[in-house]
Amino acid sequence: MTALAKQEYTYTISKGDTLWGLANEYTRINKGVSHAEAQKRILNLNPSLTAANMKAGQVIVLPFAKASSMAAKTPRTGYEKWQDTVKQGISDVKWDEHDSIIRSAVAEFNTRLGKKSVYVEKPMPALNWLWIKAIIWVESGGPTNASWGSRPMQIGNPGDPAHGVLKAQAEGSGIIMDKTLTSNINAINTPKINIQAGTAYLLTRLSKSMMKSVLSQTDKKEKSYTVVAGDSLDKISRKCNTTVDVLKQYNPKHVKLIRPGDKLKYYTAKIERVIVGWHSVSAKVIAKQYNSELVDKSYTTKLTYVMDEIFPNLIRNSK
Amino acid sequence: MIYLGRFLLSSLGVACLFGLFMNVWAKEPVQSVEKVVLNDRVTLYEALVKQNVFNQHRKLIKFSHLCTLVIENERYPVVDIVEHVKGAQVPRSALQVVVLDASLKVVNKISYHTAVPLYCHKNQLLWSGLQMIDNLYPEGNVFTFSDKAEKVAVSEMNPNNLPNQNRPQ
Repeated sequence: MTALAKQEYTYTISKGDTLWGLANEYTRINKGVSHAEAQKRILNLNPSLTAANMKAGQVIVLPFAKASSMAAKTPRTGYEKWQDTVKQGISDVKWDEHDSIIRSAVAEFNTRLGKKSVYVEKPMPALNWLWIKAIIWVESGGPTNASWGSRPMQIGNPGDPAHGVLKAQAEGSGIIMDKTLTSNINAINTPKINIQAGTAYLLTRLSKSMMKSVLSQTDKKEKSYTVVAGDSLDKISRKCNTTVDVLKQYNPKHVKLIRPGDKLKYYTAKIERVIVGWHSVSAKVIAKQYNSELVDKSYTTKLTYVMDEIFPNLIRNSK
Repeated sequence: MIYLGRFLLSSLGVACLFGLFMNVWAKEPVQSVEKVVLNDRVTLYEALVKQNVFNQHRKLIKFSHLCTLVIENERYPVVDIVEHVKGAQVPRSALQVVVLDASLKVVNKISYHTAVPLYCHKNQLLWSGLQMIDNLYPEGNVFTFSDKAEKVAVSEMNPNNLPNQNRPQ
């Protein structure tokens, strides 16, 4: 049943419905309205309707919500069934079981990636841990689901491409993960690693990276090279384990022209992936980057629903 | 003499027609076979199965021959694959385009998340939306293939200026 305006609702006539019966129901809800008046109000909303031409399946407008019969007759949509599941978390504290793991995982990422480093040129804006909690609520099916105690973020489900990306340290995930997570990535069926891995994959997809010249962190000694005939900056960079960018940066006079005998200053460097920016976080961006909303168009709606409608209404004894 | 001349001319005409017919007859099956091999979904699917492109744990929900790239006069069919990963309450998917050479050997695979592959134009694959390779900048809606489809250069073009599909491949 769909609400149209104040006190107007669409209703699909079922077998056995009569104008008399509908009016009867209306008088029960609206005490003081006579049966004749109730019939008149229904007919006023449906000018072509008569007691004789009512047919099952016909859609009419009613001045009241005939909810009891509709609830039983309208099949629940997939989204409504999903809503029913996550609503259980409003009063069931078991849905908070992973909160401490989520908080500590997100805090670690926020601390490490929230500051500049060799591979993080642009520090990460702090991630709200509730986004991770929301992803878990959206995807897991809750504490009664078998994967809740092992893979709450669903990373590592058989065939999951995200786990493959993390294992290969691809797409920039090698920068996102710390050494401990990298070495434990195969223990994906433990909630702690699963949540850390899921968060790492989300941050990988939120990061923007590009290949840049990076100075060696182990060999910081200044070196010199004398140009010989046939050299180019590209050739020299390959000979000296450095990059064209470093040669240009430390030898600004020789950017355009080098001659045999010129002495060039350089440091050991190589071209590596560097994080240069971050996507701003929103339900839409998470859906697009993390879940490929190209296939599941409802992911944004579900994340938004959990963040805006469920989390603010949690009933917890401690509150 | 005149009759002989006419006879020779008409014989020549018949020979030319016959030659033309033989030419068409001889070439047509070769072209047909090539079209079937490079466009046929079943043939492409079987080639990808043999090369273990599909993940046995995922559910294949889309398999289509998207288009055919033409790189230095060689043809490279492009296949669009979407697989579902089972397990979560919301489906997680693995999306990729796979480029094969004319012998149906896989030469390139590109995972995508944020854009939809549209069609080929010569050696370019065009997208709706911006997409990166390996989550690495630059992002763009034009992927230009070279070196037997092994190399890809990503660039961005105003969607209004995307070239026409003169003849869908």
